[in-house]
Amino acid sequence: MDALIQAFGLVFDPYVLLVILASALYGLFVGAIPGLTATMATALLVPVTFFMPAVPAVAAIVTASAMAIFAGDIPGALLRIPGTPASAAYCDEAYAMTRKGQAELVLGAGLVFSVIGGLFGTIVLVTAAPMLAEVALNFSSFEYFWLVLLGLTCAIFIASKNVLKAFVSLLIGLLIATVGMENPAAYPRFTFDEPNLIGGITLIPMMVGLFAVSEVLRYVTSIERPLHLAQEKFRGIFKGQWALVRQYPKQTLRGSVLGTLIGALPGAGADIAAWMSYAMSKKFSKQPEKFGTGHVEGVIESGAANNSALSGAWIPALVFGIPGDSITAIAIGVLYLKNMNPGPTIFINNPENIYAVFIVFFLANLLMLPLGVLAIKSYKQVLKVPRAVLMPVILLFCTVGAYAINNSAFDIGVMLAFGLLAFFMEENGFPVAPVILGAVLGRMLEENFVTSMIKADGNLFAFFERPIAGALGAVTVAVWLSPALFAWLRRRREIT
Amino acid sequence: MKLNDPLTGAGLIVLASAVFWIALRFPSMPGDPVGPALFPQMIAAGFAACGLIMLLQSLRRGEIVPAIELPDWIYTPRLVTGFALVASGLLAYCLFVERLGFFISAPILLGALLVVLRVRAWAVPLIALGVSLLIHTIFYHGLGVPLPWGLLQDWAW
Repeated sequence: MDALIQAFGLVFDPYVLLVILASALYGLFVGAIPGLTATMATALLVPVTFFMPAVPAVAAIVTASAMAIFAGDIPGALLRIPGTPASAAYCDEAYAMTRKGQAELVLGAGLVFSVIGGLFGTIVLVTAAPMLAEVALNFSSFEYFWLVLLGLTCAIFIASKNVLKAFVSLLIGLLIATVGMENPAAYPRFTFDEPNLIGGITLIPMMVGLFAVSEVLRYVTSIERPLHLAQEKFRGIFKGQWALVRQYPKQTLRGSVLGTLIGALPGAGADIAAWMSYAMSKKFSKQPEKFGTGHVEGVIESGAANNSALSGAWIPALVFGIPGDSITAIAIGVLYLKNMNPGPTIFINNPENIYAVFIVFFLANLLMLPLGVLAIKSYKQVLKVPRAVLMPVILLFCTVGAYAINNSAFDIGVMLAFGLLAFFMEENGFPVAPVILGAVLGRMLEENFVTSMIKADGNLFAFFERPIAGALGAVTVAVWLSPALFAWLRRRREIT
Repeated sequence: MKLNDPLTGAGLIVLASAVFWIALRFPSMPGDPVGPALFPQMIAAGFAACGLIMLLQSLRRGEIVPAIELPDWIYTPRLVTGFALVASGLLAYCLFVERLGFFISAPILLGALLVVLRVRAWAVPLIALGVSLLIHTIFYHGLGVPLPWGLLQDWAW
């Protein structure tokens, strides 16, 4: 109880509230601009949060990412360009509604059901995370080894279209994690006698490169088309929303539950949650024929799903230190920098910080209602910001941000290298998210493997001897075998 | 720049061999049954397996795809300049920022990009200097990041 009161004190501090408000506006702006993603918003925020205490730093990330995911709906509905990948699933549907003169209804639905989904995910986070943490207290290196491996496995088998390419991306991330001396043997690996690499590749410049510099490169290599807003003035955004809430309670709940679950799966985030939810909504709808013609049902379900996924992703991130998506992968980096190392003990040692994070989640989602309306109403002005000016400014900001972590120009080179890497990977169809997951989790995977091997005296069967470890191991292996199994089943069905 | 599957596969196998070869020279450590080499070698094995599968899959499909497919933007000089400028500009910035200082490097990088992106000429110096000053104020004075002064050390404020 004391911790809870302390947590309220931590959050309702003028400085923290100001940080929340500023990052909310920032998140709305970045999410609403086509071509700038929620992940980029988070990556760019990290160098600034580096200089803040733990609670405002995490608050900034939580708020900005939630706002950016919602704001991605706005250009989807008005320009037919999803503002962030998480809005892509229902972008055409939303635009079709705007064409039918229902812009207010679809934007309002995007906002209201984002808030509902976000709050639902937060409630699950608040209840599930401490319970899971209690269980996780008994986990040894065996369980953690399997958890990390299961997480990485989900990231490539569930969250990607091309398993092979996602696996290559993951291996690149794992290889990056091996650089430097931070390994169980404390032997400098792949440092090529470069003193800057002894400590390993610094995560933040790498993330800024992967998610921000690559976007700038994509922008300068594309021809900018003039944007035409389908509608410029909006009135009565909340009109008719209550009726929608009452008309589609099942869809809202289904979207929120699926979103939270997908979010909690490592590697799969808001965008996948939205795609799956949209497909599910169409499948179970009484009027599936209306989907694609400007029907609000799918927008509601997947709009709730992508925001609940965001909260869900924090469950494994806080309890196990295993990120649920690329945004939490970045956030975990921040937690480590702030000495708020994620893991079950954080719930015992720093409960006030955890409660503060929970309060921020509620606050951010509630703040979304008024600020969301503001973002919709001022969207015409937001679009007036010329991207030809914005992109170079972002690039300069990236370089300063990358430099700021270690005050080292070497990190700017790291940032550039990863920017180019991400750019070429995406041109060749390799997803970037597994790289960051591999880089964040590689050390944890190796450390727990080595610790377990020492404990087990080199006996691999020990990895299956403890009940939970054995179950996690079995699930992991089952996911590995699933593609082959499905292929075999399909072939059998074809024969019969 | 799109590489076709056989070329990507071959590239992965080369990468795998390099990683494996470097890791061969990692010493074993007393008391550590795993050693620093095993993990990188497993990664190398993964790369090799992926590369091999890519090669075999493309052989089985038997399709002929150009080894390297150039992207559309390569045919528009302005876009190529943009790409080259971001890459080389950042590299130059990284190499020279400590010698030249932030207040020389940043406006040059920013200004050059603004010109390539066809921002109006009169606005370029204004934006380049104004934004550099703003970022410097936030990071140097606000957050205490020691952005290098370089040549302008004597005029530092």
